[in-house]
Amino acid sequence: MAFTEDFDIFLDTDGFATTVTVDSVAVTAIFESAWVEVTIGQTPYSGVKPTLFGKASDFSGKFGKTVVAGGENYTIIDIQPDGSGMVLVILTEA
Amino acid sequence: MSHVRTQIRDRVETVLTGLTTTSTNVFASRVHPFFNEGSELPGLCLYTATEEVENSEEDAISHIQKRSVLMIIEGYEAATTMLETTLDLIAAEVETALMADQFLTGLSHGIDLVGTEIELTGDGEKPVGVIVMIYRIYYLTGEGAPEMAL
Repeated sequence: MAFTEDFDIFLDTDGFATTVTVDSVAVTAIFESAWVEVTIGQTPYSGVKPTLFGKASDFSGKFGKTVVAGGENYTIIDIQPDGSGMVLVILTEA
Repeated sequence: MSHVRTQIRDRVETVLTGLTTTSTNVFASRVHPFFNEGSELPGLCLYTATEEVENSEEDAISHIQKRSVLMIIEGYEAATTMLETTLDLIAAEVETALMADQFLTGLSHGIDLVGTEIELTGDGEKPVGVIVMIYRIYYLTGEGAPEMAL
């Protein structure tokens, strides 16, 4: 019997995961918007870097699509596979 | 009194305050970051950088120093659309305002725009851009008398 990894245990909404909307479809993922210092010019910009961590299958073909998370609208600008079936999704404000 | 370089920086800050796009968001010698939830963008930062001094041979007795200081003026904006267009608009307003007062009420003998660079990044929650305008500002002082423009 082939081994099939259960990614849902990483995406427990009683834990760190939350329900977001990806291209109008509800998806469970871990949403983070952590502080980041953007270095540009001589004066840095104190911003945040919004990301989603979720199942690759939920984000297949979703590059450029709209995400609603944490009450904000975002656009997917990068999808970075971790090689195990999960992806880090990079967002920018829509 | 203060060094003429300080007076020049103060004058440029005054000239650039109130422009249409950047309004009162003008910061001299700023080292602290712009805050993404603040209201300081679009904004301008200005600094003086390298200064060259030439001791005039014709005025060996009076010891006049011909100085040229680089003034760095940076226009910042964070926006999801029209970012580079806004940066160009900032540059247009800065260039127009500075040339309208190129002698800086008698402090300077002229200003040259040396060059412009644009840098964009998507590292934050929205694109951030800066347009860097480098000016050379010419002024004269007496040797040992850096607080009085000649």
